[in-house]
Amino acid sequence: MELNIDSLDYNYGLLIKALLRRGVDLKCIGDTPMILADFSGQNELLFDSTFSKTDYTSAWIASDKFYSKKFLEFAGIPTPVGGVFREIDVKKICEYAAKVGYPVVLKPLTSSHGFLVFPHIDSSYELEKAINFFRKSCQKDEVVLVEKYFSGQEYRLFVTRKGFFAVVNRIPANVTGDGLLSIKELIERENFRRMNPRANCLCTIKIDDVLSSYLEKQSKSLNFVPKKDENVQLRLSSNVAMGGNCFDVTDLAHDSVKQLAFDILYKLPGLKYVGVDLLCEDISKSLDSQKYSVCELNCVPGLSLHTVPERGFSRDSPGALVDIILD
Amino acid sequence: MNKIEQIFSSTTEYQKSLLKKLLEHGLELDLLHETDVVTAGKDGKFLFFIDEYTPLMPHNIGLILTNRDLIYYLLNHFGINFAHCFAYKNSEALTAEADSFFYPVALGWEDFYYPLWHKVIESSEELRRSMTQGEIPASSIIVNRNSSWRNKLAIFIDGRGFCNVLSGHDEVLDVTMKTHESIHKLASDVLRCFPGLTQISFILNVNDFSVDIGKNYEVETLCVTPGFHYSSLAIGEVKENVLNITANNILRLYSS
Repeated sequence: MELNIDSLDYNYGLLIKALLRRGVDLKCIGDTPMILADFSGQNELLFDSTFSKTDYTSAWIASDKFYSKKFLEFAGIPTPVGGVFREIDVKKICEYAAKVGYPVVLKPLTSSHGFLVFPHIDSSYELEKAINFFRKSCQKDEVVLVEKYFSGQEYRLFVTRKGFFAVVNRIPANVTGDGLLSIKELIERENFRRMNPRANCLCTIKIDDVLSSYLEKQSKSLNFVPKKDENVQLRLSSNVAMGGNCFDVTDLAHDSVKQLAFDILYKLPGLKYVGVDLLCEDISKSLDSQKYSVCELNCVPGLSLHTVPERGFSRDSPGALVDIILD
Repeated sequence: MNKIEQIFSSTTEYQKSLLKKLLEHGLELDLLHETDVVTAGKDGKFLFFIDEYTPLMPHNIGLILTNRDLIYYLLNHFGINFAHCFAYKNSEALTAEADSFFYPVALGWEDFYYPLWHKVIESSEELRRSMTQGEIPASSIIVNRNSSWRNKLAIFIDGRGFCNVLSGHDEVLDVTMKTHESIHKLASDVLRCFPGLTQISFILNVNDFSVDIGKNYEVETLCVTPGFHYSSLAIGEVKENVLNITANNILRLYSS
């Protein structure tokens, strides 16, 4: 079977290209996402960007949002208060939200890329609406997590045990008006710009119920025509896969931020690298001087955010993973 | 209930014995608050135990082992015979796929790690009849059983050369010393298919374990834990060996 990088997931492709650049011999295993890497008499089995240097239970902790939260609490790292609901019981969820206090965030336990994350729910009415939408869009046994909303800039930190450190600032999807086009037309124009050609990690801005309901909350609709230079925020979730923007800010990060990322990594011996989602006001300031919160961990963090951010330096995150594989 | 009793009350016998070993070696045990995740470690450095999983399972391999198709392609790549099973999707798909095998085929529960083959189906007609009569639950998997193997072995091997072979159902015997070296070689080859994995357990079908098996065998199931080797049927010494090997591998990982 010939290696066809274009058929792989984008991030997986970046890792495979980095291995090829380092002269690693790669063999596909049938028509599957498994690729066998041969180097210096050693083997590594790659499967969808995962490999053997991370252990399964640590990866489980990092990918399950409730387990991550409990691990962070256990490790003394600030994280939003949250509760997990294995059965979707509207009454119980609303009671819990009232107890922790609005606004709250509703999200699935294990999804990624911001899928079905409702980031800023102000009232029980909105929460019930989000739960109903969640129910319709999920498998029936999906578990839901409700947590206290924490306001701040969103940063993705990426650290490895070999000392690699990179940070991007993620900004929720938005468009700026020209006084002529509707929000829908502005989104279409922006999506065309992003994809023709696709020169960075940005994805298209998806028009879905979450986006429409956020516009509705601002008394706007997709047909609304913003004034010239009027910026309209389309979502609260900043995930790039949902159309968010992404800027490299590694050189701005305060030492305390770097220290936090490494502290988290070293408290999880089974992980050799990790993505940390940090919420704070200003990454250039000491974390001691501001409120901050780690809302999620990621055991298979996106690589393209760092290699091809929308603005700022390119950081060799795939190369950092290759350093771990070859170690 | 104290903390340790609370931890042990929610774990399997095997996991409990393993955690006790870690406790003896000075690791502290705890539960992540409001979860069933057991933490083992001290001074801010922890390993996690969830369900049957220990930190010895690498992430990629944990994912691969949940998919029989992937295991089939991987073992096949290394020239190892693996019983190719497929999961029940719907009655038409199951019948079509069974028909693509040679009968007899065996049906088993979908419980991936410990399949207990509960029905051997001799023909396409029998399969269709059983389905119509509702005898085949939606949680079934099916496997080619063209060969009728005389011996089912449970094998445990670790990367440092420890190998243990058990045989039998009602009476489980340790047959490690009676096993032909081709089986030990095969066990090492199976482990080598999973770079980074320190130990593995699997079920192997053979006719005679005392002679060179050549290509006359079938790996049936790969297991995440050596639970079978630790079952109450296994003799004491085997239990202790498998447990000690596993605990030492975990401690080595912890201090690496």
